Amino acid sequence: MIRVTDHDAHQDAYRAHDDGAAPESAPESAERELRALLERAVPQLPAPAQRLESVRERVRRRRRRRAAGTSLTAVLAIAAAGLLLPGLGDRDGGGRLDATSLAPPASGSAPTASGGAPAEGATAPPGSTTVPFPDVAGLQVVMPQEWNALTASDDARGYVSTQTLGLPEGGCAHQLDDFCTPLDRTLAKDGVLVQFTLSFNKATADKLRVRGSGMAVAAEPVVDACHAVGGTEQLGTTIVDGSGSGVVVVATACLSHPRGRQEARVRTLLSTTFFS
Amino acid sequence: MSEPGFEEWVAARGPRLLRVAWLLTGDAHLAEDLLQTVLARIWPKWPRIAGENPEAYARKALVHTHASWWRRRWRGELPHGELPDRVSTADPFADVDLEQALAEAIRALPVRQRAVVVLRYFEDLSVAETAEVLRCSEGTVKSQASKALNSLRGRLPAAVAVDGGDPGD
Repeated sequence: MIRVTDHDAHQDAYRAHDDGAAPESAPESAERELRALLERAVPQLPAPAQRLESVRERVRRRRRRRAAGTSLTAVLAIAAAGLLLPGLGDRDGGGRLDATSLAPPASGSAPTASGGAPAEGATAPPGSTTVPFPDVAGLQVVMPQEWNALTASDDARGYVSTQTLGLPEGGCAHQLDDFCTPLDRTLAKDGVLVQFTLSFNKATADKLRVRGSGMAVAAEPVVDACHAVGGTEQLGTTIVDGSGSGVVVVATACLSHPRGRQEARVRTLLSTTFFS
Repeated sequence: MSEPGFEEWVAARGPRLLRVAWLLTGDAHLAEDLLQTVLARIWPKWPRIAGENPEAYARKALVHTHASWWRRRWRGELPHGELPDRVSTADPFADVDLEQALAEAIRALPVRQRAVVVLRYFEDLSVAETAEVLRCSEGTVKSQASKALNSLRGRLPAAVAVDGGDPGD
């Protein structure tokens, strides 16, 4: 039973427990009381009438974006996979990849996989290329030319990495920590994987828009999923669409023993990402 | 896509999932946003998920999506350090105050502890099941639960007493 009262009769039991002299049942009793408290105090919120319509609209928006980018993405994926980087897709025969073994591609080559080619008319610094992610609200990522890109359409996510990428069977449905790691191999030393996740939150977008294009790039606690692929450091930021659409993209970079230069590159990548 | 099945499931389980979301976020609007985010992820996969355990999938998605939000967006927003002393037995709005006091106490918990409270004490999952959802050890669940209980104990008593149900009371 839960009471709302100024007189806390149970405090003695709590204090006794804190002193280590509580009866054996004290923790169980506290847990039972907490359960009752939660059941009583957590409100029964009304469901908005348009909830399912809002959900459908979120899904529709995602599909529209995906459909708009499908043709271009498919062509570019084939071109990138089949012509520009013949090794892509040959995961078993590709040999161990690490940052030092990634030779820069020929001038003007597109990044790998379905992330796409440099945006039409976009200018990128020498040695960099701009990759559009139509499924992530048209996000444009300026990244080193030798890096790889991948789109996970089902989840409206984009990835860029120093290493080859490939979605696991079943996609990213069983990701840890909301962070998918579609890497062919674990991160090599100085390796980087960046995930861009699309979401919609008008209030957050408006709040961040006031401050500029989003939040500053900041170090984050390394999540388990990043650890699992060899990550030792994590950087993150939130990018908002300046048009007021409510689009918010959360960018998370997982780095493995990064050198100073590599971390600087990642910070630049995260801070120069923009919407088309 | 078997949308009717999805709609029925949302109608049946939505209220409970929304309460879970509220407990994670401590805010009604954020809770609805969190739930809709998760439902939008579930809907396209419904044919596959429906045959498994959609509620477990949704619960896990709520916890991890909220953790992601918290980590990246609202890390700087912390609740008030002290609760207002406004709950009393005579207060006809005691339940409202209780709800607010709980929301503030819950928001004061680190996100991991909050998830443990939700899964262990609201969703009544076992330690092992909670550990599976959070992808951590059972020992971690126990220690997080203990810390959460201590923290709630320290924050709630000034306004809310948790009565163990003394028969003589």
